[in-house]
Amino acid sequence: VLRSEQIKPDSGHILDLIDLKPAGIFQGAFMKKFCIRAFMATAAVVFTIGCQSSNDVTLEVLNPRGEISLPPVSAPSTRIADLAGKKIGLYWNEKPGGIHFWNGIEQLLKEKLPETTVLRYSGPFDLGKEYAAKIAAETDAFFYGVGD
Amino acid sequence: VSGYYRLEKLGKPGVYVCTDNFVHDAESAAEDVGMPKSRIVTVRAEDYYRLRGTDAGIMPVAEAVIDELIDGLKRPLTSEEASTTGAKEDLGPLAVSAESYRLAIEKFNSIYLDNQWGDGLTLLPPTKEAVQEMLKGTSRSPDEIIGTVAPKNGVATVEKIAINAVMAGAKPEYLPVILTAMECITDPDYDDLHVMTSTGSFNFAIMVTGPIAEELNINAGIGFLGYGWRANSTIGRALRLALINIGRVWPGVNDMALVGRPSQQFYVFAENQKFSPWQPFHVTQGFKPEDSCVTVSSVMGASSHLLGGGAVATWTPQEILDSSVRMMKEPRWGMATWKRGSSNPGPMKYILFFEPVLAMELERMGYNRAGLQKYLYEHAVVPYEELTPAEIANVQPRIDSGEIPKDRISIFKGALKPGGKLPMLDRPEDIRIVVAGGIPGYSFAMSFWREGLYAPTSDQTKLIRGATLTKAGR
Repeated sequence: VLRSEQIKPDSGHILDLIDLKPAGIFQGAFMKKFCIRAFMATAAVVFTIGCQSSNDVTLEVLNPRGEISLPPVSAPSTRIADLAGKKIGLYWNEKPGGIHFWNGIEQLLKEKLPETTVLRYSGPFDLGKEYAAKIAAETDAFFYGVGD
Repeated sequence: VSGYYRLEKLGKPGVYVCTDNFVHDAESAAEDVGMPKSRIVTVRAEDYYRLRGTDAGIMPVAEAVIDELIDGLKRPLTSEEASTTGAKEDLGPLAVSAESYRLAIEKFNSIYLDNQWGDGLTLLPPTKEAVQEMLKGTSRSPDEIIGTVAPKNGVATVEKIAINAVMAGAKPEYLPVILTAMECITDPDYDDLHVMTSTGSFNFAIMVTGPIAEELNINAGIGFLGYGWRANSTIGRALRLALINIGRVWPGVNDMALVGRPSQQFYVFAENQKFSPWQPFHVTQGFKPEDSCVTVSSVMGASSHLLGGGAVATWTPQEILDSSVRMMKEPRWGMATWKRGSSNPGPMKYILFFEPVLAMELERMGYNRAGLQKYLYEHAVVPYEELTPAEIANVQPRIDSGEIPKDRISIFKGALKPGGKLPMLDRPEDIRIVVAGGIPGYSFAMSFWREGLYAPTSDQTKLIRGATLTKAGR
């Protein structure tokens, strides 16, 4: 995450920080004019010194990232409090490295949830629209894994 | 995660299962599909990969997560999980201030590299002025959308690509080549997602052909895949940065190449037209000889198939053709299960890099590109008598699904009888022959899938256009 202190634009112009409104002994017209000029000169010196000591160089750099339009956010489906009598699908892509793990999951599900039915499915990384509809029609819940 | 998402959207509660080393990848993918609060359960990678070889061996890993898996189906969603509020981000310019130019550069690099907006090497600052200078290399509008980049489908405009080209140190005259390469990579028919995110070390081979290659001094001779040429290096780096920043890809997060993607600046090179006896490669793709083009191919690694040549051993053209045929027979292991859309989608394609002397010798022997393609296609075959029942059985489904080109179906059907010979490639055009390298040189091959996993193709050739600083590519 971008650290905010790193991207914060420079502080405003130093004169912006100085209240130039005259008051008290500076209310006479000459004094007012003199004081403002003197103050401006001093401020300019302070500004110059300030710049040299803190923000001599400012690079305005463009953002290299592309705009992304993420799809509307959806929440996962409502969970099932009681899985008794339900059908659970296990989906794994066809690579051999995961077969034994899913065999183990199937066995444990049958032991822990004897009243559920376990159905095995396999296919490509993304099972696709039609296959998804088929699995959705045949199951109540599912575990999904893909990989090597 | 897209399959998991489909089932959730159909109203089925599910749990996505992966190893803990892949959880960032899964979370990133879940965000991409629009379900950032997907239920994900992880298993310990070091246990999984060590023990997964047998049912008995992996059982402790399954036992360790089974309760969590069941809980994932039963436990009601939290309010955070049920939320459908998305995040927005600011892509405006940044002001970086410091006491000196050197320190400002340091600070800029810290910000960009710490935030994974770079490739790990020092970047040049993309100031507005520098980007405007870069854009002088093309007549194309800065707002023109070239395409979207996987995995997050970031929008690649001409300006965004130019910003990354500045950061890479590219010259403005390279920009038209970079834009054309991005057009290839972001073509909707091109599978950039697999190349950029797979656990395998897939990469892009980016070949520049036509007169612009010489104008830009893109190396085509000795060392053509190596370092030292500004054009080769910075065109490749600009593309890498554009993919990192526009596609939002990062190693170990959503680029899961286990050993990385050497070379990190891709394989950018030019065809060696000076020594080639044949017309430029892009003519085989329907372009005019005087055109300048970029061809991008999804390859599995450089010099992965050495065919012969070099400065030490002697060789003959026939030996290299024989070596090429042997290489093309190697994917026999997967022949019985080739299936479009699966992780074993079909036969390979090849780029054969023929060094200049070999190409000239083959020309003297009477071969042109088409003749060589035909020769290799006809020799990279398996006799019917050697085919397994599974290999024979897989031919008809491939014909029925349209994987085998219509004009080749008779050849495949004819192969399934005594005396027949089943091709290892679907068509001769799947062998791409380019002349590259110096004298002496090596001949070698890069291979890639004929079909992409997530999109139909794994190579694209496009015309360079809009150049303003070169004679070619305008």
